[in-house]
This record gives sequence, C-alpha cells and structure tokens, in this order.
Amino acid sequence: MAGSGNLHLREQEKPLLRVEDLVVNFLSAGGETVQAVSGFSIDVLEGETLGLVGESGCGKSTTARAIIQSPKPTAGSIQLDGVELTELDDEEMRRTRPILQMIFQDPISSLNPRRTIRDVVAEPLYVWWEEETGRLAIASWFEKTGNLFQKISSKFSRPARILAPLAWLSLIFWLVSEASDERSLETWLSWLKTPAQFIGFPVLFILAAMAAALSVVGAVWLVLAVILPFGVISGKFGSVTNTVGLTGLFTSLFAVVFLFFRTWSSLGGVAHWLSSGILLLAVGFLAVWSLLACREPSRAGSSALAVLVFMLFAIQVFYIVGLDGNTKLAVFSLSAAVDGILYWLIARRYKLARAQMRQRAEPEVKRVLEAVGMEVEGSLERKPHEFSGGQAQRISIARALILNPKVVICDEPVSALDVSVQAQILNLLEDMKAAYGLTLVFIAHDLAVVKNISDRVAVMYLGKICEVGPPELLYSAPQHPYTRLLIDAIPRPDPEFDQRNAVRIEGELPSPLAPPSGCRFRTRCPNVQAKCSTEEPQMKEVASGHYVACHYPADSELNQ
Amino acid sequence: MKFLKRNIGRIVLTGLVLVILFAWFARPPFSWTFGLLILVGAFGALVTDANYAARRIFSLIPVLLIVSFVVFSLMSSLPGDPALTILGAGATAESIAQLNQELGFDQPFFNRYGNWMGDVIVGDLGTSRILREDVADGISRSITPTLQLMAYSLILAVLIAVPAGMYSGYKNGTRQDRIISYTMLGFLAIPNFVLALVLVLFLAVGGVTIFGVDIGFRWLPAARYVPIGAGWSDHLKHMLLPSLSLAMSQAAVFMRLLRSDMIGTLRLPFIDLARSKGLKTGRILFRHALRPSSFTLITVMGLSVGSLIGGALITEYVFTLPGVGSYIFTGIFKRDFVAVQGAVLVISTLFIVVLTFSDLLYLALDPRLKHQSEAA
Amino acid sequence: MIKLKLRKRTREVDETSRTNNSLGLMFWAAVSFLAVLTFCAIFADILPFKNPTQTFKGFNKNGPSGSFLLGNDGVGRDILSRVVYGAQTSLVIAVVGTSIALIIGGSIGLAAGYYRGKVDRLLTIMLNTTLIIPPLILFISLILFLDPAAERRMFILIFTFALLSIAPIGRVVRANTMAWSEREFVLAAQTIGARNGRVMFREILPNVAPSLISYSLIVMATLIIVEGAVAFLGLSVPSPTPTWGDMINKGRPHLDVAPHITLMPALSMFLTVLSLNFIGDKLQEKFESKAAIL
Ligand code: SF4
Repeated sequence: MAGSGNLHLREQEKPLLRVEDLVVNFLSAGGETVQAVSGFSIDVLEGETLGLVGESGCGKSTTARAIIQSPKPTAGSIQLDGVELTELDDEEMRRTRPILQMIFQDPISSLNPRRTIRDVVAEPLYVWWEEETGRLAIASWFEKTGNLFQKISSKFSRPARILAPLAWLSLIFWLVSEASDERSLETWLSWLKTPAQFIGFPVLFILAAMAAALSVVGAVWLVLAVILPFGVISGKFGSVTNTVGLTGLFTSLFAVVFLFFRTWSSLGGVAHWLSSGILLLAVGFLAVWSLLACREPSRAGSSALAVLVFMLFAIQVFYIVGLDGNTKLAVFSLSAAVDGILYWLIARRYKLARAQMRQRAEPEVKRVLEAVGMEVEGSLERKPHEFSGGQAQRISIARALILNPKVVICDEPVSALDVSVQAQILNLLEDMKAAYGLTLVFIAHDLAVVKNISDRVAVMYLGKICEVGPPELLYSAPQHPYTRLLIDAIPRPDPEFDQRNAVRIEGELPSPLAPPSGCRFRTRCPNVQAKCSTEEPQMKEVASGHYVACHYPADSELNQ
Repeated sequence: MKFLKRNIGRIVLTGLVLVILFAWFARPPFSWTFGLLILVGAFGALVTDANYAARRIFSLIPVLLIVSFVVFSLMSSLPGDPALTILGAGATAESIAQLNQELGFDQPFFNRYGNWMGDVIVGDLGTSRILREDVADGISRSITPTLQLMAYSLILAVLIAVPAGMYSGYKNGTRQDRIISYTMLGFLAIPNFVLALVLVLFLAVGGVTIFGVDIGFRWLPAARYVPIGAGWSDHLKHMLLPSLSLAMSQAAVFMRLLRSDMIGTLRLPFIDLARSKGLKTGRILFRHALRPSSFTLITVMGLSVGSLIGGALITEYVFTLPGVGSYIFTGIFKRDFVAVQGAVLVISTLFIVVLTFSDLLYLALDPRLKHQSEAA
Repeated sequence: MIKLKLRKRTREVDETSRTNNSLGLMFWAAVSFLAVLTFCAIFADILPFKNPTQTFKGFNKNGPSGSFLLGNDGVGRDILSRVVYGAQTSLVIAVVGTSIALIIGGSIGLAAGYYRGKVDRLLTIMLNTTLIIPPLILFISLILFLDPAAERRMFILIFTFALLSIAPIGRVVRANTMAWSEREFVLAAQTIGARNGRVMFREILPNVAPSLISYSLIVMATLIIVEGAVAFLGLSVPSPTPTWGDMINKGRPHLDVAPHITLMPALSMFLTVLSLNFIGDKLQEKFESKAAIL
C-alpha cells in the first residue's frame, strides 16, 4: 500500500491543518534509521474531523507528535492556519502551542500524580498568566528606571555577545590576582564577617557584590560581567521574566567564583572553613532563588521555596557552629528571628499570589470541568489516581480545552478505556467539537471507533497512507486490500456471520528499519502481483474525494 | 559457526590489536593488566557480540589516556621539590639542578608527560630513587597481597550475601527476613577499619574484661602477612581477619541488592509455572530465580571493586600487610611521586578493566540486553 | 498434551507482603538519635561539655566513670566531649558535601535525563570521568595535591567529597528523570506551552524528589564513613580538632588495655551511619509503595 503522491490534498479549499510529505526517521539504539513515517500528507479543514487509522506501530502516534513538533519531524511541511510550524523556532512554537492541543492515550499517565485536579486543569492558564504578569511587572519597572536597562541592553546586545565571555574570563583572572593579595583579603573578610552574623545571607550577598563594586577594577568588571549578559539575554530571549532571572543567576555565579577564590586562598581555622562552605551554598541558594523569585508562584514553586528556606536555615546553623562559645546563642537566636520574619514575608507573598491566581482561574476551571461532565464539587482538590480512567480522560480533555484551542489531536483517547466508557468519551468529544468549534484529528487502531465521528478517514500502514475517503465510501466500498481486511476484522452483530471466517491479516508488520520495496503492504497483501514489489503505487482518485494508493484496488479489472 | 563466519573480520582485527598491545606491554604489572584485557575481550567476543566487545575494548583507550593524564598531572603538580627530597637537606643548588635535569624535571609539562607515557607504554614505570627499586617491580611485588585480599573478600562477600539475600528475599516480610536485613544494615554501617579493630579485639587480642569476665578470644593472628609459599593454611589464617573485615560491608550491599531483585523475580509468572510443575523450593530458588535476580548484583560487584581497592588500602594499613596500599602510603610520605603515580595508574587501569569485564558479563547473563545490543 | 494450569497470583498477596505503611519505632529512634547528636554538636560550646583538648592528669585510659561518662583517652582527655566535637566535623562535612553534590549532581542529572541526546551524552561523560579512578585513591591524591600542609583541610574535604558524590547522585536523578519523562504528563506540559525549565522543576522534580532525598541520606552516611577512613589515615582535619576517625586511630595502641578509647567513637560513628541508612531505607520504602499506587 502505502502510496506516495499528494493527489488527495485539497488545494482549492483552505485547510486549517495541512501536512505535506512528512518524514520522521529515528536513530535506533544501534544507529540504524527507523523510518517511522515516510511521505505522509493530509489536510484537515476547519471544523472537520479526520480519523487516522492503522495498526499499532504504523506511525500514527509518531505523526501526531511530529505535528505538535515534539520531536520535530525529519522533513516535510506542517502548516497550521497558514503558519509553517517546522520553521518556527522553539519560542515561537511555544507561543503557537495553545491553539494546537493534544489528548493522550493513557489517561492516568498524562496527569501529574503529585498535583491536584485544580492545578492540573488550570496549569495552562498559570503558564500563560505568569508570563503575562511577569512581563507587566518588569515593564513597569523598566518605565520607572527610565528604560535604562532596556536602552543599555539594546545598545550592547551585539557587542555583548562577543564581550561577555571575555568579561567573564577577565573577571576570573582579576579575582585570582585579587585573591592572592593578602592585605586586601583581610579587608574583605572583616567586611563579610560581622554583618553576616546578624542580618542573614541576602544582605551578605549584597555586601559581597558591593564590596566587589567598591574596588575600581571590580566595578568595571561588574558592569561588563553583569549588565552585558543582560543585554545578550534580553536580545535572545523574548521574555523579560527570564532576563531578570538569569541576571540574578549571573550575579550569583559571579559571587560564587569570587567567594570561591577568596575562601580558597585565605581560610584556615575551623570557623573559616565552615563559613566558606556556607558561603558557597548561600550563593547557590541565591542563584536558584533569584530564578524562582521572578516567576509567579504556584504549588511546586512554593515547595521548592520551602526546601530552600530549610537549606538557608541549615546553612546558618552550620555557620553558627563555627562561632565562639558565648556569642553563639545570641547570634543564633537573633539570626533565627530575622530569618523567620524574612521567610514569613516571602511565604506570605507566595501564598497570596498563589491564592490570587487560583481564585482567578477558578471560574474557568469549573466551566471546563462542568463542560466535560465532571462533578466539580469535591474533585478539585483530589489527585489524579483517585479517579477512574474515564474520569481522568475527561480531566485531560478539560485541560486541553481550557486554552480554547483550534485543533485538538486525540492520540487513541479511548483505547485504554473500558468499552462501556469509550462511547461516553467519544460522545463527549463530539459534543465538545460542536460546542468549541474544534477541528479534530482522531487517531485509533480500529476502524469501528472512528466510523461515526469522522468526516474523513485516512488508513495508514507502515508510515504511509493507503486510502483516504469519506467514511460512507470507505466503509461501504473499501478499495485498498488493507482497508478491506481492517473492515472485515470489525466484529459484526450479525448472527449469521461467523466471526471465525473473518479474514485475518497474515504475517507481522515488517520492520520499519527496512520497509519492503515497492508497495509496503506487499508482504501481507492477498492481491500481491509482481508489479507491487518494483513500483510504488501512487495516490489515485477512485471516486469523488476517495483516494487509494494501490496498483490493484478492489474495483479494478483484475479483481473482477 | 555462522557466528564465526559473520564476524571473522572483527575477530581477527580484535585479536591482532590485542596481540600487539600485549607485546608492547610485556612487562609486569602491565602484562597482567593487558593479559586480563585480552581475556575480557575474548570473553566478550564469545559471550556477547564480537563487534560490541571490540568497541568496548577500543573505547577503553581514551579512558586510559584520561586516567594517565589525570594521575600524571596530579602527581607532577604536587608541591615539594623531588630532587631536594632525594638529595636531602645538604644538597647544593648545582647538584639539585643537575638531578632535575637528569630526571627531566626541567622540561615543560607536556614533554614530561609524553616521555612518561612513552615509557609506560613499554611497561617502564620509572625507577624510584627513594625506595631504590624499579617501580614496576615494586608494584608487582606489593600487588600480590592486595589482590589476594580483594579476591578473598569478594569471595567471602558473595558466599555470605547470596544465601542470605536469597533466603531473606524468599522469606520476604517475615521475622527471619527482618533479622537478616537489619543485621546486614548494621554491617553496612560499620566502616571496615572499625570492623577490623573490633575483630582484632575480640578474635585476636583477647577482647574486653567486663566485671572480671573475659569476652573474646585469641584465636587468630592480628597482623603480619604470610605468603602462600609459606603454607596455605597459615596464609589463609593470616588473611582471614583482613578479608572478613573488608568483606562484610560489601556483603551487606550485595545482600540487599539480591534480596530486592529476588523479591521482584519471585513475583514473576514463570516462578509460578515452576512451582506448579512441582519443583522443590530450593531448586526453584537456585535454578530459576537466582540468575534473573543477579544482573544488578554483577554490575555492582564490578563497581564495588572501586570501594574494595579503597578498603584494601585501609585494611592493609590496619593489619600491616605489605600491599599496594602501604606502597602508596610510603611513597606519599616519602614524597616519592614516581612510585605513587605508577601505583595509582596500575590500580586505576585494573579498576577500569574490571568494570568493563563486569559490563560484558552483565550483557552475557541478561539475554534481553544481548538482544538489544544485537538489534542495535 | 497436558496443559498446565497456572495459579493466578493475586494482587492481595503482594499487598500483604509489603511492609505496613507506618514508619515504625526504629525509624523514630534513629531520627531522635540524629536530632540529639546534631543538637549537641551545634551547641557543644554552650552545653556543659568539658574542653575536648584539655588533658586530665592521672585519668589516662580510665574507663567510663561518673565525671567522664565515656571515659578518658590515652592522654586523659574526655572522650564524651571529643565525640561530640568530632560529630561537628563529621556532620558538617557530610551535610555540606551532600548539599553541594545535591545541587550540582541534581541539576546535571535532571538536565541529562530530560534533554537526552547530546546533552545526556556530554553530561554522562562528565559524571563518569569522576568515577574512573578508585574513590579513595583519587581522594588521597586530591588532598595531598590541593592541601599538602593541612591549612584548609576542611574546605578541601568538603570540596572533594562533593566532587565524588556528584556522580552517584547525578546518576540516580538521571535515571529517575528519564523514567518520569516517559510519562505523558510531561508531553502534556510541553503541549500547553510550558518552558523546559518549568517542566523540569514543576512536573518532574516533585516526582523525583522523594527518591532523591532518601538517596542523599545514604550518600551522607557514606561520606561520614569515608571521612572516618580518611581521618583514620591521619589525612582529615589536623589535630587538635577532634574527629572520630582520628580518635579511633589514636586508640589502636591501647586496644588490649583500654578498648573503650577506640570503641566509643566507633560506636557513635556506627550509630550515626546506621541511623542515616535506616532512615533513608525506610523513606525509600514508603515512597516506593506510594509510587506503586500512583
Ligand atoms: S495490490 Fe499491490 S499495490 Fe495494492 S496493496 Fe497489494 S501489494 Fe500493494
């Protein structure tokens, strides 16, 4: 089967999703090429449902994943609403994702076991809101500072790409030379030791940075090393959120290097080795924290924060171990109190922001959950494993719908479910399609499943399409031998029909490592002729809108 | 035969390379190392896939180069002037300079590394001026007790771990299982030097006296190395305590692994099949369950050689055995870098070869992996 | 042909053989031992311990007594207070070393397991290079190379311990991350447009964290043992700072007359390591049985 040719693409109409000559090759573990999809073309009009059918291993799931670009296909074109997805870079693709959603086969595995249903369903909203609010907050901050950073960064973004690595290198060299100067080291140390005991580590870090800035050389390099990467990053990444986070990261990295060399050359006694380990940890903490802090919080963010808070506390404890006996208790209680207030403030801010976001998302979440027929009361705070497969699949559908997508790809959404539930989910998808004006690509390994919901059905074998057509024609007059076999395999409620006489597809699916020559179905085809192994069949129209890729389709003279 | 025919090219190539290598490294202790390498290669070619085995052996070359470079750069950047150490405090500036020139220390780093590597490749690890002896000879002499110690410990550990792990996996959840598991967890928590001291205390020097009661024995010798030549029983008697103290923590690791794998295996349906055929429990455990449960154990046994080496150094120190450990320590304390870098290189090479061996063994035992590598 | 009827193994059998869900008395005993030890170590200066470096004349090698609860060592110092101060060293090295390894090894493992492909290969090579030389040998070489005169031994110890623990932790995280990345919720998170960082930290990390935490406890225990071994060889923090390994070593000559000098620090080390291993084991068991339900 398995033909080439794009005759079945409808050029005159404007399809919403258009896949042309899609090729997906993998490298197998041994370095051989697996030809999972070879030359797959299809188009889906707006509001249409495409059913994609084939045995497991025929490449239909690979096709689905190639359409959502994870991983990107080897070759071919995928156009969504006129936009060529294969040419988008990662960030552009990410921004396109909300209109192209997917529903997965295994309902339980597609929900994170550690999050509540509320968060699972609202996560898409969180992702995009956080970016928005982050961008807004940073934008106002830019206005306040007179767009200084933006100006600097736009001005320096080109030279910075070259200069930043140099700056970092020079910084390291400077630190090495600075660190070998005994006298200046003592000054550094005296600055660092006293306030740190009382005020805690954020302040210590700022002090360290200021101390670096105080030295003239240090100031120059600080500017080069911190502000220039700022420019690099803001030029490279679209979002300002990341920029600030990464700037914090860079600053902390700078401090790590700085502190490392300082402690390296100067520390001797017990108190000092302690402080050196601690300082290193503290800046590590700050690095992570600065990354987290500029993102809007959510559940996972706050638990990460809790871990970090604990770490900070542990760090201080071990710093205090190194102090002399009598000051220890005083220092300990003081710093613990200061920390406590600090943590409380951070935690409150996170909690508040999280609660706000939850609240903002709540009506949306309830709306979609109700739309997919879930009992909203009492299920919001439950974890995925407390639900049945069918319910979990409803939750997945709700998550896919919350972003108001245009196209939803359903990758065997019912094959892992009980037969009794399958029909419910299929009906739900139909309803959702009508209610949200969706365009569906529905993948199944069984023609019966897609029969009623598809406007067009494509049969796939070993990475290629055999037959495309409207279900009425395809089911009543299947042309391709493979389609006929598949249709015969559908169990019938006809008592006269002996299921055991149903035609079986013989043999196994050939290896996609070395697909058969000519027609890929020839190893199992009942009608195989000599021509099939030499010539690849091309798509031809057998009826209006009904295309088949076979040299000897059912209606041809040979079979009469 | 088909296999031979299909892979004849690879086999000949592998063999050729190995023979050349062997000819090059024809001096001990490198001749053993590369003899071992040939064995590993041949073994791998036989039990797995010649192509894969050859690839593994070839991929060792860059690893060995990295090791040699790390060892050399570490040792050559150690502070302290070796010439001064050799000549003593009374040395004049000229004699130091002369000796440095003689030893090649005045040359740039990479030249020295190149020279050293050139010598190492033909099996010449240099001459230690402090111990006044060829380093290769010194290592060959001192590696014997170390290898003996490691071998005995590994055997002891397996002898203890396999029955204990199988039994406790089989009795999973019962009191017997818990007793064995907790005891082994305890042995895991005893550092080998502590265990060595405790064993010496209770089995060699007579133990402690509490309220006038002596607890302990004087059964075994506490220290001293007796070579095999001086009598097997004497040799083993002297090696028992060191091996035991080194073996227990490894035995604990092995036992825990085997236990959890055993539990997993015993849940598989083919065990039910064996049971329903009416086989005896012992037969099921040894013939059917042990092999599929031992895959992880074998990898970990390979990896454990690393900690065995470390442990052996300390055990040698406690029991004053003249092994590589004491050779290295003497070298370190006398600042004899030539000896130390030679010994470290040899040990690391052996370690890597053993790791490769255990990898291949793992592949040979687990048919699923073999299948994968063939498909690959 | 006789057809064998297979007995179907039911789920309940497995459920009963699994340990019950409570952590048990031993677990809490281990936790409280560690808590007491940590407390004493931190506040050793404030608590009524004797000066660990002070020698009490005439008490040499004395067994445990009223004023010296664990007895005196070879030169008459109080073993109890030396054990407590030794705990400072061991705990700090273990905790700080593990934390650094956790941050670095954890992020390397997470990135390698999540991105796979080239990133994975590069990072795995990085991790493996630290494994090619047997640990103790590498360790001794590093100590002697970096700090021959024992001026900043503690710093070097932490540095090398962290270096050596990165690879094991990284491997565990990598394997776990790979397993979790297979789950479709990771693809789902990408599909809704989450960035890679978000997917890693919010979707995968919370699932990897339990096994990571229990494993790092075991790493901590190993570090305490290795520190002991290094101190035993006289290469850890130089005296007069007390360390367990050094105390054990110093007690060796008196083993037949005054074994308590060796046994007391050995016992405290044993209990600490045992507690850590035990807690790590129990937690892992608990998380695993929980993960089986998920
Ligand atoms: S008849 Fe020929 S071309 Fe048509 S499906 Fe069979 S093998 Fe392929």
